[in-house]
Amino acid sequence: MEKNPAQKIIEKIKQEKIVPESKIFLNWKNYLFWFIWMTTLFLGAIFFSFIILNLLDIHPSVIRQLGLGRIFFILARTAPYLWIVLAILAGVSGFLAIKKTKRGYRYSILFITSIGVLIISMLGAFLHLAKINRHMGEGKMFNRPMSRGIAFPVEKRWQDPQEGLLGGKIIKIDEEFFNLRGFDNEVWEVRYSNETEFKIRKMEENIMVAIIGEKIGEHIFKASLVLPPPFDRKPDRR
Amino acid sequence: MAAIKNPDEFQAIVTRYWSRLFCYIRRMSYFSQEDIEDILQEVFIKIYRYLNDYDTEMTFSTWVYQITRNATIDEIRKRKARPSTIWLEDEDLVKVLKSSLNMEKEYVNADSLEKIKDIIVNLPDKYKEVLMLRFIEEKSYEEIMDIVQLPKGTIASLVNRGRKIILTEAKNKKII
Repeated sequence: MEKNPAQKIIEKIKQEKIVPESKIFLNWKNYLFWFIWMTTLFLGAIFFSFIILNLLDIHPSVIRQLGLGRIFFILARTAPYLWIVLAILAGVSGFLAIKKTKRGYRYSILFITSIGVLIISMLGAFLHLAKINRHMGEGKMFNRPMSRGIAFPVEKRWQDPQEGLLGGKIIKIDEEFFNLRGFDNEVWEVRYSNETEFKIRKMEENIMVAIIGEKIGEHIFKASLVLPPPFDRKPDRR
Repeated sequence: MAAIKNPDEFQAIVTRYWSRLFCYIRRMSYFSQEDIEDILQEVFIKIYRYLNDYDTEMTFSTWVYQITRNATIDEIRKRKARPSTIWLEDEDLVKVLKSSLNMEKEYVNADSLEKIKDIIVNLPDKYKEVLMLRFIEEKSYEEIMDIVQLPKGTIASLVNRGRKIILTEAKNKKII
C-alpha cells in the first residue's frame, strides 16, 4: 500500500534524524543585523555631532556682520563634508541592516528613514551637549594637521584673515591691541577700539576667541567683532 | 508549535496544510504534480527544522505560506523558467474577478471566463501574486505582508492597482 505524503515526510525526518534547530542558531543573523543597525546609528550620531560642532559657530551677529551671501560662500567652502558623507553612509548602512532583519520587510522606507534620522540627530545633539565630540576632537587621531583640516574645517574657517576671519588664543592684552596665537601658530596683533563689538564675557589672557574684522598689515588685524569661540581647542605650542 | 517533541506529532500539521499548499504552489508555478510534491516535501522538512523560528507575531498558517512561497520562488529561479501561464480553476477566476470588481453578477459565461483568464494571466507577477492571495486564499493585508515580505502599504497599493488594471481590461473586453 502506498504511503500518504505526510507519512513519507515523517519517515524522512526520522531516517535523516532531522531535529528542530535551536532558536539562537536560527536567529543569529537577525541579532547581528540589529547590532549592526544600532552600531551604524551610533556612529552616525557621532558624525552628526561633528557636523554640529563644525557649524555652530554661526553666531547671529556673524550673519549681521558678514551678510548672508558671504556666510553661504564661507560655509560652502568650509562645510564639514567628511562628516556629512560619513553620517549619510551610516544612515544608509543602518537602513540596509534593518531591512535584513527578520521582520525588516514590515517597515516602510519612510518609517525606517524617519526613525534613523531622529535617532542620529537626537543622539548626535546629546553627544554635542555632553561635549563628547570635543573630547574626541582632541584625540591623537585628529591632531595631525592634514586630518585636522579635513575633520574640523570650523577651525580652518577662522584661519582666513584675508576673508576677515581670525581665531585663536589671546596671549597678551594691551590698551589698544592684543596678541593672538592663531591655529597655525602665527602671532597676530589685533587692534580694537570703542567701535569694536565684544560678545565675550570678559577679555582676558589665555581665552579662545573668534574675530571678524580686516587684515590691515603683515600680521596686523583690525577687529570689528570679537566672539566666544566655537571650539575649545588650544593652538599648538611651539 | 515548539512544543512538538516527536516527529509523529508533526504529521497532523502536514495533513492539515498539504492540499492548501499544493493548490497555492500550483497557482504560483504551474509545476507538475510530482514537482509540487517534491517542493512540498522540502517545505515541510524546512518547517520542521525551523519550528523554533516561528514566533507569534504572525499566524502559523502565514508562516507556513511564507516558507512555501520562498521555496517555490527558489525552485522557479533554479529552473530559470517563470511560468507563462497559471493554474486557475474557473471558480477561482470568477472569485478574483468578482472580488476585484465588486461584481454582483452570479453568472459568467464560458467566453467571459476565457477572457478573464487572459486578463489575469497577463497581469504583471507582482499584482497577480497579491490578488491571488487576497481573493483566492482569502488572506488579510497583514497576512499577505508577511507572506510576500513587503510593507503593508505596498500590499494595499498593489491590490488596488491590480484591481484597477482588471477593471480597465474587463471594460475593454466588454466583460462588464
